[in-house]
Amino acid sequence: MQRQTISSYELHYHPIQWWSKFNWQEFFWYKDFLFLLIWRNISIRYRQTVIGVAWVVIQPVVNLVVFTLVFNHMAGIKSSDGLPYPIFLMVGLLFWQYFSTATTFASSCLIDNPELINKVYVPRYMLPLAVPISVGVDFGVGVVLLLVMLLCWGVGFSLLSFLILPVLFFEAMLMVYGVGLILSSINAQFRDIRFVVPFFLQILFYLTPIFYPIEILNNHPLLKQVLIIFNPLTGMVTLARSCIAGEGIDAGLLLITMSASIVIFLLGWFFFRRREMILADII
Amino acid sequence: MSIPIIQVSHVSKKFYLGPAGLTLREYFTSMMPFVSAKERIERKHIWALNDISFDVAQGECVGIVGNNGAGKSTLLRVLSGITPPTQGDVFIRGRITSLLEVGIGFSHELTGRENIFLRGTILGSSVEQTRDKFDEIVEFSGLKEFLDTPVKRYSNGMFVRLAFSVAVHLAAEILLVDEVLAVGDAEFQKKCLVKMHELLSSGRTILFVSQDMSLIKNMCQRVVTLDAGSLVRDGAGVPLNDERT
Repeated sequence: MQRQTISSYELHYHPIQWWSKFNWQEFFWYKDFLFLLIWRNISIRYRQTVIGVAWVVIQPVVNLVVFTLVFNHMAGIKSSDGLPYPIFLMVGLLFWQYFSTATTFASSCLIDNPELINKVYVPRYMLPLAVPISVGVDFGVGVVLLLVMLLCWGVGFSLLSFLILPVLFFEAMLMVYGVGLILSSINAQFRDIRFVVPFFLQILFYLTPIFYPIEILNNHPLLKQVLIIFNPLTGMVTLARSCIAGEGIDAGLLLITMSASIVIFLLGWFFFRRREMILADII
Repeated sequence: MSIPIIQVSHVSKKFYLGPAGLTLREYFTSMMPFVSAKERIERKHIWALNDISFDVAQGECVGIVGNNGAGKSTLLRVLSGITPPTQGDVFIRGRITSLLEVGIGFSHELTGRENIFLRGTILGSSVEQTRDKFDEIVEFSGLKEFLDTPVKRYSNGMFVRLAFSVAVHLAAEILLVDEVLAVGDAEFQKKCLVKMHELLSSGRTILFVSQDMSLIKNMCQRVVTLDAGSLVRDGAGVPLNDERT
């Protein structure tokens, strides 16, 4: 047998601080772990279910029917941008479902896999990272569904709209990662997060223009500004709708959502890096 | 002598007793800048490791023995990077594969085949490396017929065989093993010992925790004895009973 040469790798403990340099070498060693984690998240979600992947389609369709009945037909909320209400709603739900599903999974990803934290060493930041990527499959299915709906309703859409969706998805992913980093690491110590997340999501659902257009708030400019700045989902949904309706991109709004997601991501990252070292002792 | 591959210098690890972590109240008090260190609640704690120092050279096989609670597992956890030492320094000049507990990293819904790959990547190898060694791993574990069965239907023994096979075949420069062999049957144990001797002769370094003195005697030239977190003996051969206390 060949004699194994010792790599130049040297592990030396020092506390990870928020300014600590990112260890790219380690990232490349464990990149396959990240891939398999993503693949596992996708593949075990619908194992031992009878209709399997069909759930990805059934959930949004049922939501769509019920919400259209309740909010459009019964409550009389109108859509904006000249889109039919179901399509208008679908764009909102596309982002909302992604955000709520991914945030729920991300907030519990550390306590769901305690053995990956305290029995073995893997880069911990990869666990909350795998979640927003794997839930991206749902987003993809949603986009296909949206495309089908656009064709069925005969709504013409510009190519631009399908160029903006990946950009907005990336922003949403970055935001979920940031939120997930914070929630999952707090969750490791204080299990209160389990109760906070569903509650927080329920409130946020009403504070995001999903089933109503943002124009509803035109008489309350302050509230509108607050929603746009502090809830990046607002901007994402509004942008996606106006693009699909062929109204072009509001560059200012795009800039706001983009900077907001980056800020949320950075906050989450630095917060997580500070707590990463002690995770194994408190989980 | 060349630079040691593992260098442990004055390592101590403090654990707090009582409910895990700080309570919310203690958390907020500890954040307040005007509360002096003395006024903060000093919680009950133990030193799981107390000023431990030793070096390991490349190619050595070091046994770590001691009674329950002596700090053996904590030491391996510190060495593998899972938890930082409270004081002291650890230098490791090579990549580590650790096999600290049997069930780890198994995703119970996934099949044996899928878990071999997942575990491989948890130990830090790539999917490609695992694929190269895949046949050997399956052969060694003797679980060929069960590859496509979800591992939640595996027995304890099958778990260990799978876990151990993956770890020894994908071992990096340093292998940390904690009490895993105890679960397998005698025949499998023998197979593992042969494999570990093979790893040693290929220049790997092994740190080995066990209660089984005959196993230690078989494997290790050097034995480190821990007692209540302190290093009480570091030398060749298995400690005699009166030395161990």
